[in-house]
Amino acid sequence: MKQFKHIMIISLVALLLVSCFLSQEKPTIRDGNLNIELLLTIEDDSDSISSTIPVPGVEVKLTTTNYNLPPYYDITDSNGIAHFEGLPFAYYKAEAYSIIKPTPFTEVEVVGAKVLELTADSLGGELSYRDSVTMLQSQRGLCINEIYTCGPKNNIFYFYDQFFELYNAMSDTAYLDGMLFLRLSKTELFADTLSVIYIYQFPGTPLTGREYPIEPGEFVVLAGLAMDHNLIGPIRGKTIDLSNADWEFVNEIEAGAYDNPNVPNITTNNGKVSQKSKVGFMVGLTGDGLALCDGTDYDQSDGIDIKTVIDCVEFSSSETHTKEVPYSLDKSWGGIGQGKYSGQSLERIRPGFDTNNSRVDFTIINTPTPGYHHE
Amino acid sequence: MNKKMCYIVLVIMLFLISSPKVFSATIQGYVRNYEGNAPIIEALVAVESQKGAKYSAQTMTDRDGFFIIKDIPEGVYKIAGMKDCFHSNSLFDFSVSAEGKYEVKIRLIENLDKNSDMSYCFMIGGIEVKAMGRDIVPEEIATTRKIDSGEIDHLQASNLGDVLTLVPGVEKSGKLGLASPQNIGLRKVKRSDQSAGGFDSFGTSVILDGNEISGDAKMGGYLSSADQGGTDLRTIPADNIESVEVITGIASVEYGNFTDGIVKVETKKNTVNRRLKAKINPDTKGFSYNGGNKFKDESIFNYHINYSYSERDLREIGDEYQRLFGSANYNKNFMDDKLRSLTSLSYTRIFDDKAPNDEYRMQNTNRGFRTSGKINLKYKTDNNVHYQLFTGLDYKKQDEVRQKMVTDQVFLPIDADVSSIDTSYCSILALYDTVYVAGTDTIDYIDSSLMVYPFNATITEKGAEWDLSFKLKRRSEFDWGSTKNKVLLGFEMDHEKNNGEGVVIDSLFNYYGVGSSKRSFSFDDYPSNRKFSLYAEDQMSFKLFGRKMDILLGLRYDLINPESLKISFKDGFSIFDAKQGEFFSPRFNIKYQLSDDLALRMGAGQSVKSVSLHQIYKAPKHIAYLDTTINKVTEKVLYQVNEDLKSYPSQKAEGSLDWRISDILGASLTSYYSYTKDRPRSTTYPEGYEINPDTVNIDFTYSRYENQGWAKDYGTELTFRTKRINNLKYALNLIYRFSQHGSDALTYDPDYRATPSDGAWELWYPLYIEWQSKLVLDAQVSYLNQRYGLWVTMDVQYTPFYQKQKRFSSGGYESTNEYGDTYTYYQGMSYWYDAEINSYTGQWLINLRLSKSLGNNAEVSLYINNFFDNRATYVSPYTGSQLNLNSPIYYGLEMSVQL
Repeated sequence: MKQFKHIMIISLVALLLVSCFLSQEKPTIRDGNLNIELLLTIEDDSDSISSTIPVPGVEVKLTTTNYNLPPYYDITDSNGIAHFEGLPFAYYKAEAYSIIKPTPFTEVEVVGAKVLELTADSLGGELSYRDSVTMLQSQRGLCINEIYTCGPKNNIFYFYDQFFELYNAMSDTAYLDGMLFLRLSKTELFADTLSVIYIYQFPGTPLTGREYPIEPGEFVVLAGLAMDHNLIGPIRGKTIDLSNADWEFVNEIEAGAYDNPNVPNITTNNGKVSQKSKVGFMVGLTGDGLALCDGTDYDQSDGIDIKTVIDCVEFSSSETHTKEVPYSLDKSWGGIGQGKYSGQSLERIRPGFDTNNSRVDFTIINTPTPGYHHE
Repeated sequence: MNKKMCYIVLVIMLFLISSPKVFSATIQGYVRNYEGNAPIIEALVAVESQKGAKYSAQTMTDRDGFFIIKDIPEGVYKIAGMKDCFHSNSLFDFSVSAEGKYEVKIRLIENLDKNSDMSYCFMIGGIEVKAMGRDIVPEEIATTRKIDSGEIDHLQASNLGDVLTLVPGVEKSGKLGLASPQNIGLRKVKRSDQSAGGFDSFGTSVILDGNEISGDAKMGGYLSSADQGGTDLRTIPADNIESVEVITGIASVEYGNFTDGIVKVETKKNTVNRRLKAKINPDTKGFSYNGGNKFKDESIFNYHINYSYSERDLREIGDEYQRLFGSANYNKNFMDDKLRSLTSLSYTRIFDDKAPNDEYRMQNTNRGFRTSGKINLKYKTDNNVHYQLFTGLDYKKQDEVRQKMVTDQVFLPIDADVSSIDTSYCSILALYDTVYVAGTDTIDYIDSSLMVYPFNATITEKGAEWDLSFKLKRRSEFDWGSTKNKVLLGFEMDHEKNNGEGVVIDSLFNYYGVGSSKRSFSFDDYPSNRKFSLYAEDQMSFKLFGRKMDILLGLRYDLINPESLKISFKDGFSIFDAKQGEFFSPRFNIKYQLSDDLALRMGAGQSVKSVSLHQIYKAPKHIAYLDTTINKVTEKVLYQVNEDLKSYPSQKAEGSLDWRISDILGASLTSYYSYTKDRPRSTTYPEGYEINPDTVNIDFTYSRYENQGWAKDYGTELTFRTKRINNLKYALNLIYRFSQHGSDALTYDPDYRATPSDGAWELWYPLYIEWQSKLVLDAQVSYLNQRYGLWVTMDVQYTPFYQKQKRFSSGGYESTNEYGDTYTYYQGMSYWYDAEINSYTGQWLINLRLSKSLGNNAEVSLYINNFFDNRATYVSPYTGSQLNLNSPIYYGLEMSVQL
């Protein structure tokens, strides 16, 4: 018994000694005390030589997802500079929106945005930072206006209420006949064709068909599953009714799939376009690439010609995401900070606002808005 | 009393008081065998002073092992016991301070090699510590590394996987214990945070007490993690291992069914003192009890019970791995000890459970067990011919059930019976269609279907793996002139079968999701594996130019799943028509003593690895398609069996120089090259390939194993070892390995036109070759103090160089990455940096082990792996992602007591 006690005491001492190696301290304060100056400019096309001019009086919003901090705001001074002080080291997104009047009788809607990597490593210990943000003017066309993919707030991993919204920002009627809606796989950043995972097609004849119009200023909702998702017990009241969607995606070879007979179908594996996937249209909850194409090139085996793309959006919740869609279609990606199963949606800041830069064009909204635009 | 008498008495008393004090002590006792306590006759006992005046004395033990040494003056002594065929042992700091008798018991450990080396060997509690003086240069003709039970106890290994970290060049940075499957891939290169899976471990054969443990009898169940990998070493407890022999060189022809090397494990079978051992560390707790008794008829019964418990994720309740192991051996000699029989039984039960307390309600139970029985008969004739007959039956019961919540929608007809669905968390929702009533504006609602979301799905995998082995060997020795010959002849037979109900999956509420191509199948539907082997080998020893020369020549014939006798010279000589092939594998080894201290070893040979039932009978694929004739989605089956899949050979050559630099320092340099061809590889085909190989079918593909892979491995191993110098022993290993694998066949890419490659990409393109190159520096210092019963070992492992890369030979085109750098985008790449070199250089690790005796019969051991908790973080220069190459600090304590 004495020997046993001896063994136990030595064992306990040894364990205590070892446990000393495992102590770690938690950080107690925020790291950094940064001062930032942002110069907002707009391109001046009045001269033959392209130049930029400062934009005064514009509110600049600075947000970070690295800390649970509220947004920072400042208005650019007479030199077009916004000032922010006392910020921690982090990744930031700077955003600015304005309507400027080049002449007393014209208004131009401009938007600027930029991601700033202001970490201790990237700044090399510097505590002041200066940068410029160029504001861009929107183009007008048929576009993907809203992307709702992340699922409602739930703990049963429900995300089948995904939908995509199209918007016609042109002054003329557009026709969806024969158009393609694609989920993209990783494509070379300077490629002239797109690699495709899903390929779904509207009925009708591309370009010449006139059966499926979308009027100027009209929203069209494309549902992954056109049903009232609010009927499902655990997510009742937390999501949306898509039983009245304008279109529904249907994979013709999906065994036992539901097809709402009252909603027309956008189809795949339909004898004309085909894909490997045997399931319905589901995209990544917080990251993917989508494209709307005119349908003149529907043979995906050699890629979809980039010239046929009407609109393309890349989105990812990650700031450090590796870009997967060609720059010529989308200069960056939107949706940074979007959470899975958060009920959030990604929508253009104005209906149809499009600068081919999703980081600028899109904002995260807390509630999806199928068929209308957020306030 | 008169005056005269008083005077005499006074003088005597004064003499006695004033005379110097003289002591005269006696030391007596017994010298006995450590195992079994039998007396050792005619052992030499020496007493030598350590302090003070020089004194020494010797004596021999009598027939009772008793000795006595008288008239020993006061002092501090070392008492040593020595005897042929036993390791010597010493008792230090024996203090003699008063006149009288001192009782001493000296216990010697038998030298099982039966040689005259009396280098010391003693016990730290239950740990047997050997001097290992002979190991400074290898003795064996083939490159072999031996690990004895003392090193295993000192390491506190819980399973064979832990033990093998003691082999030079094997990663020491992985996590020990039972938390995750452990595999070994000898002479393979791997990243230290990854396990040696797939064919890297499939090519290493594990032989436990003469019986190979392989995964060849395993059908391709979906749940088994080691479908094509090697044996999960967690199922072999370390506590009862007597020795482990790792053969990486050209092995004797008696070993088959491997490509990379052999791990030969011998468990304790002889008389062993009863010992209780307990270990605890943050992951694994366990105890073992073993012993071995000799009966009056000289038969021996040895037993071992082991229980281990691993809490894999401390944060998760109910996530546990438990192992219960029991074994029994019975040895008995017959016919004047000419016939020796060994009967063994073992049983391993696994409780690998997970409670449904995570978000997906995953619930797993694995209640499989493995049991084996072996009868080993060894007969020695009068003219020194040895026969060995081995029969073994290995039975592995598979009983695995998994359940989880599947977050897929299942649509059922509105009248489907859903009463059996657990609605505690599954929603059942009736969907309505809206229909306009003809001729009116009224909308009617019609029940259309039921939607279930989410649903609870179950998969079970139940069956039994049978492996029946039969081996007959004949060993003989004879002299032919001045040449000594050791001849080995043998025959082996193996029958492997996996039967049982197999995999059961609900095709509607599919465990793998509604779009899964996996369905139920029975193991009974597939045939067995039958293997036959014949071999012959002669090891010749003679003098060449006055120096010793050993030559080992052998030939092994392997026949796997023969169909019929068919002698043919087409595509080489063959005797049988065998589904999985027949192979003649020659092996050759030579060892020449260039000088007294320098030996040259060279060898070359072939070995064959049998393919597993899983690789031959890959489970079919069930896919949905639109049947245009009935305009309905239907299911069809694509079979993925390749009954003609052949076993695959590995050809190896190696050369070594062994140099005994001095009596205390030895060095060994080994270089090797091996080439494995026809290695199975899962190849994807488009449906319709059999009719037209140029088929482009994006929709439907299947895959099956083909003999299309190859692997090349070469490297150099440089080892320095010392004998124990002033209680310290050093070992240094420098190991460089290069490994690459690829395939001779092309890979199918139906999307080859989707990328603008200007025609450089093809429908069938050559897949990349992956190479890895690694230099590992292993250093070990161990300190041993018999006086204090202390053994401390420190291991340092450093990786000054480790690179890996995929080398593409497919078509490519110039492109630009996100940093604006140009690169070539080859067919088969996923990311722009796939063809770049990954360099994981500068990883280091320090492990520390300490064993301390607590009296004669107990010891405590402490193990700290990654002493400085250095995680060796690697940051990818291409993506910025991080990974930790070293496991976190891991420590444990073990105690053992002799009962």
